[in-house]
Amino acid sequence: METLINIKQLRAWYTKDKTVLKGLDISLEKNSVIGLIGLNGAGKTTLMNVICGLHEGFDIQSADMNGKKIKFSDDSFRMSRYIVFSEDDSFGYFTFDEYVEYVFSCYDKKTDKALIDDLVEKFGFGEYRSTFIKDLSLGSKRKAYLITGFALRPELLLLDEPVNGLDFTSTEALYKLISEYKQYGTVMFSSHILESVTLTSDKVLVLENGVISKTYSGDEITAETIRASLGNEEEGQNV
Amino acid sequence: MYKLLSRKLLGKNYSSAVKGIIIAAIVGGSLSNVFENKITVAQSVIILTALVSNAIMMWKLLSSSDNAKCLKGLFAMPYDEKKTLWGYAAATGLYTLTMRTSYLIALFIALSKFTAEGAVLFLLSFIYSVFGTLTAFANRAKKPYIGALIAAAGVIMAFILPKGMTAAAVLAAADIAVMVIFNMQKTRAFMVTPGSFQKKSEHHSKPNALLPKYIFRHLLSNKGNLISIVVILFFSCFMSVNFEKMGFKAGCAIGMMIISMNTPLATIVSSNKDLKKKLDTLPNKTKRFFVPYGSVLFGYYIVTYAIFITAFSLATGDLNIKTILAGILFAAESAVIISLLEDKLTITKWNTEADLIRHPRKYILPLIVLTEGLLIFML
Repeated sequence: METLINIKQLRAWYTKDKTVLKGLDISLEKNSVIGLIGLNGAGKTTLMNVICGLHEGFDIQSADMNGKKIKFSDDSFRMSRYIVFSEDDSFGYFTFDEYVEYVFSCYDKKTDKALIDDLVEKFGFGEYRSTFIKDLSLGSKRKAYLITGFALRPELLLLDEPVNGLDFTSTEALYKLISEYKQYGTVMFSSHILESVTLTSDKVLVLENGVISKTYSGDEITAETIRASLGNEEEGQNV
Repeated sequence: MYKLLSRKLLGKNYSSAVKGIIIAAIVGGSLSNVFENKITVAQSVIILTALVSNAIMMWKLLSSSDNAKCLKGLFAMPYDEKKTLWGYAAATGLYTLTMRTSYLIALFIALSKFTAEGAVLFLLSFIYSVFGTLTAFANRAKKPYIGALIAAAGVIMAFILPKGMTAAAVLAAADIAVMVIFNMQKTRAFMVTPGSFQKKSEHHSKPNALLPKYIFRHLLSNKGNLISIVVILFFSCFMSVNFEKMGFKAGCAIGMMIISMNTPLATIVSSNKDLKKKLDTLPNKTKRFFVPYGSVLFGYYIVTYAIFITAFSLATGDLNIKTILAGILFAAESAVIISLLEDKLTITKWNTEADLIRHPRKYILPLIVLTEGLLIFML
């Protein structure tokens, strides 16, 4: 598979004596689904934040996208990716429809009403479209941002713990959308839910001690192998 | 209650409070060296300044959403009604005194002939303002007239009290009276429930109109923001007219500086850490956010300065093209500077929303406006 993004020797820190990512190499293939797992504090969110240009304390040997050098904070790179945060209280005074319209305008894109309506239906979000985002529950807020991300169809869609707060039906819809996203681009998502990774991912990256300690792909992606890699043998327990 | 709140508002071991007083002392000391010719400030100005300024700060603190979250947590635990009531007053009052009033006192000492008598009047007015605002806030929903009566009594006292110790005696009596009324309040009355209202229509706006709409909703969501704008406008007119009457040529510059000092619109990004985070991930943020934001700010300042200049002209009988041009210049500068500050120097390290108001960043714009204003109106 062709490589979309290639990052070499990424180190990230909060303070000089607290390095979270310690020379991490990561390669994301085009049109694929990549699951990112690791115990709490492993650095999953930090990695996402670095890629989004939010985290300032980092250095890197090289980062390229489609073979060209990139800077994470450049607008040209921003145009090709979108992130759904695990917690987000931004733009609370927009309704969902206004928020989508606004985000699309930032990406210089026109909204696809049919696609958005379809996503809204899949997530059972119809009745909340005209509610201010600040007044939505945690789960509904998550749905609003996920719908925006999937409707935008960026080359790289980053989802930080997207399953948290979602109801059963929406979780199933999310798994399906993640799996099908391959036709539009690449999804990288972090999760503590084993099922979310095993059901959707082409590749699973295990983040441990600040580096990608293991990579699984194809038939290797099973609950047993991943659980074993994290030293957690308890059936059904979150990773 | 007091310990928990004071820790949150004033920092661990009162660290934020001490920092606030030190900064105020530095600001006061620096200004004192610059302004050698001290002006005489009227008793009414001292009383009104203490009353209005503290009332705005207190109201903002009491109605802030982070304070609402904090109170929600505190009320989940068992508490003693009276101890909690007075503990709340002590913590919020001390916060206002160290974080806001200390700056005002420093300014008075630096710029005016601030006597011991003036200090006593200021302190008594401050106490009236603290307990009056707390009482008004507790009755904001069911008996709003109580707040109006307290405010009216404060303003009347500022204007009609005779000079000297009689004023101090009346203010002290008023303090006791307002404290007695405050003691009758229920602690739960200070709980804040964030209002929620839905957009009924499904009318779709053009992308360029979305952000101004967002900003106006943000502004209108908190009545305190609107009250604050009106009070600041009134206060700026009052101060500038009084300075002019005292023979100070650039009274208009003082008023314009006050207007530029404090607007809820100036911290729209800083006040929402998630908004800052989201903006930093979105492309075209200058074009899609900060340009429309600057346009809204320009509109806001043009309207505010127009009202101010009209009121100032009516009061002093003086209107010239210089004043109008200065208003347009300051409106444009304010829009550009605030947009740049919110983009490049966003305030992210704050504990309570009220910390945003006392952040040193807020003095950058007033300092520029005051310097230019003095040059324009005095030369």
